[in-house]
Amino acid sequence: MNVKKVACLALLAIWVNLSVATDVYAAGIRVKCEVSGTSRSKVSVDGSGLRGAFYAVVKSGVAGYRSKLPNKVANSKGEVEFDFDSNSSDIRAGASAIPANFIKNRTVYGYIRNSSNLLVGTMRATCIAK
Amino acid sequence: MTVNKLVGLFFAVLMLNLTGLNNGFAASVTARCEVTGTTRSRVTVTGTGLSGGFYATTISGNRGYFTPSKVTAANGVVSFVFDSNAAAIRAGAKAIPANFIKNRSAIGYLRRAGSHVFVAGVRATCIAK
Repeated sequence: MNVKKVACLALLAIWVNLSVATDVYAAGIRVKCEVSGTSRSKVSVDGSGLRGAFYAVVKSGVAGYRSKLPNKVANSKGEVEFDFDSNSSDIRAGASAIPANFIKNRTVYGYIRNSSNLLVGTMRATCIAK
Repeated sequence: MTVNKLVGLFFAVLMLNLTGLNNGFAASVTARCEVTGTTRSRVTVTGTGLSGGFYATTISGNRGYFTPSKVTAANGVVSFVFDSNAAAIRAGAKAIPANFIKNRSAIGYLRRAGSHVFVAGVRATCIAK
């Protein structure tokens, strides 16, 4: 197999990957979180295969926080992303504020709901401890 | 940039992608469904970035079905198929009725085998064929 064929195969693989990622009939959710003792908590909730406007809720221990208004509209790829952070510079950059000690037991639940409050996806994540 | 460099770059991107999928802290779960009138229903629930054993549940209308548990592959991916098609069932899919999917909507859940700890639940709008 020559180099050009390999390059074409690699391009094809990337194209297939992107096609799957933009399939609006394949709804998906990803929740990631990081905790640094009680000095910082960070959570991201990402949805895929979505249409319309959404908000996210994160819960850990007994506390829960909603993403700030307005609700976010899924982009042309059907993706919507929400960031929650206790770091002030990240909050200024658009993240929804959560307390530094928000994350308990390295476990966070992330929820995505549409503007009609219909639950679209939920996921339990184990957080990276830094 | 030569073709060789391009090839190297593509493989580097692919490798980074695969590395990301294997990150146990960046798990994701996807649900997908297809419905052909009342003649066929198919739901797939796929988890990535996981390790260990899992099982899937799907609910549509007021009915639900669950799969036997399965261990994630070496790349951290675990996939479950629910299907009403006989050939798909013979190939390993969990059997569901042909008219299982109601209102072009199905929810896929993933739970850990043994402990039944909830991992994720996703509501999918189904492809109508």
